[in-house]
Amino acid sequence: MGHIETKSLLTRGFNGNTPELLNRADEAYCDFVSGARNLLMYAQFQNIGKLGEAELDQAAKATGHRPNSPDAIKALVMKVPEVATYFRVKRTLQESYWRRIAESYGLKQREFEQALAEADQMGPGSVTYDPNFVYPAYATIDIHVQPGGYTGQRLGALTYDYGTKIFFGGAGDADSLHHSMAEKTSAPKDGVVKRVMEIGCSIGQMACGLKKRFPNAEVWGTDIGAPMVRYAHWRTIQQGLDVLYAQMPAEDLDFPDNHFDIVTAHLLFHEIPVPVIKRILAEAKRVLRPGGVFVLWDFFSAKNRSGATNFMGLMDASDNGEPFAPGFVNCDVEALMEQAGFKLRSHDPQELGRTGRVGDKPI
Amino acid sequence: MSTLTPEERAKKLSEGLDYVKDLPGFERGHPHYFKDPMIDHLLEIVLQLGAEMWIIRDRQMVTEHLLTTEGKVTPEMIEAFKPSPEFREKMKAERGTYTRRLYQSLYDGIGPGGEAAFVSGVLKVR
Repeated sequence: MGHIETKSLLTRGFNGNTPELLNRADEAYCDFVSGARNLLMYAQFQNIGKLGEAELDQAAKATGHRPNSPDAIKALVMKVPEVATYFRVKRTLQESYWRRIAESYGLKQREFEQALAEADQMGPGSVTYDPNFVYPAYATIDIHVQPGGYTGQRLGALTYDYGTKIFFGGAGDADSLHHSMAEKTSAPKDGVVKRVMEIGCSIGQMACGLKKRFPNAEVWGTDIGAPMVRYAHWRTIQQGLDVLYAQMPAEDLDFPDNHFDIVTAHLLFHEIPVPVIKRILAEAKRVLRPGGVFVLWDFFSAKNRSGATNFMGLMDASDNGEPFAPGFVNCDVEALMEQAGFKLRSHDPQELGRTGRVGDKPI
Repeated sequence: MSTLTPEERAKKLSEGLDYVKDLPGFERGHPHYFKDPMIDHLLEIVLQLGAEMWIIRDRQMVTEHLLTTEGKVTPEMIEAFKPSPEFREKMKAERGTYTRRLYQSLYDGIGPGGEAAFVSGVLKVR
């Protein structure tokens, strides 16, 4: 087992498993942004959705046509001052925290890069990646308007880590959200769990939760982004956990057939195009053993969402770096799982909320 | 391991996906929301000022706390300061009051709304 010296790098220590920003002013700035998001965005979500929907309903009555493109929707709903204010506030706060976090960690860019390089060679666990990997276009967008997204900045995963802390508004501190999902992740019906993999693992929060849940299993975290798996490994070493990370597109995994007992994806599918979702489902079925289980944690399908939520979702897609989310919520992913050959344990929305979408690979 | 070159693999991974570049949101863009973009700029400035003012207020609270509990304060002590859960809650409440006071007029037409934390689609039913 290796030991990474972090005191000289992280002079302000950790907040849970997340490195603190490098000075108090940056932390205070992000505290403000986090609180402002809770008060000025999340608390107004339903109100703004209703206002926008009312405007769209009125236009539909007057013209007999309900707009469905983001540009047409924007032209209508932004006439309502509170709606325009909400989206201005949202975009500004979103861009603000990414910029401030990157600036803060950027004060020690070289030192962080050195720490990641040292961690590449250390255990527990391991990381593999290809420095020459060429990303498909869909994996290069600025997801959530984070500059460089998940693949384009060497310290992007570190920035993402603190950014998600703000995004969840305190609801996911110390990885509590991800670990609760890991705790609830369904096991195969025969109870045998020797190998587990999270695809699209980003910074490894869920993979670490799975390792804690299944300490005797071989736990893998794979992600298309090299910055993600490298940082996930560094972060996992801090926790003393043995997780194996690898840069792999989830639709093209370097594993043999029938290899895993559990494959899970947490908040991955709404960030990728539907054709890729179909390929991933086929690949997950291939690498799962008969009786193995695929567990999908992600947004609800449009059929289980209100109209107001759909309008807000469209705006999120176009203005918050979520271009694939509408495709996902409208694709009926439960049907796609069945088409891929999984047998769903439940179709009940309440149950899906509690357990995620759980599909068994038939024996 | 894939036997394809990185370029060949990227091409394979991109098959049938040319359409994604045309999706709204694929390019980050620089959207504005008001007919007069200057209103967007002014709101941005107002939010940034609020954040920068909070930084000063945060520093003042930490300074006062350290002077009260330690009898002295240095820049290093401020940087190293780790608030207790109680002090963290006190600052959070202060921040909430401050933010409401500054920005409550933004949503005058629809009411202020209480504070709400993030609830994802995954968690909503639960």
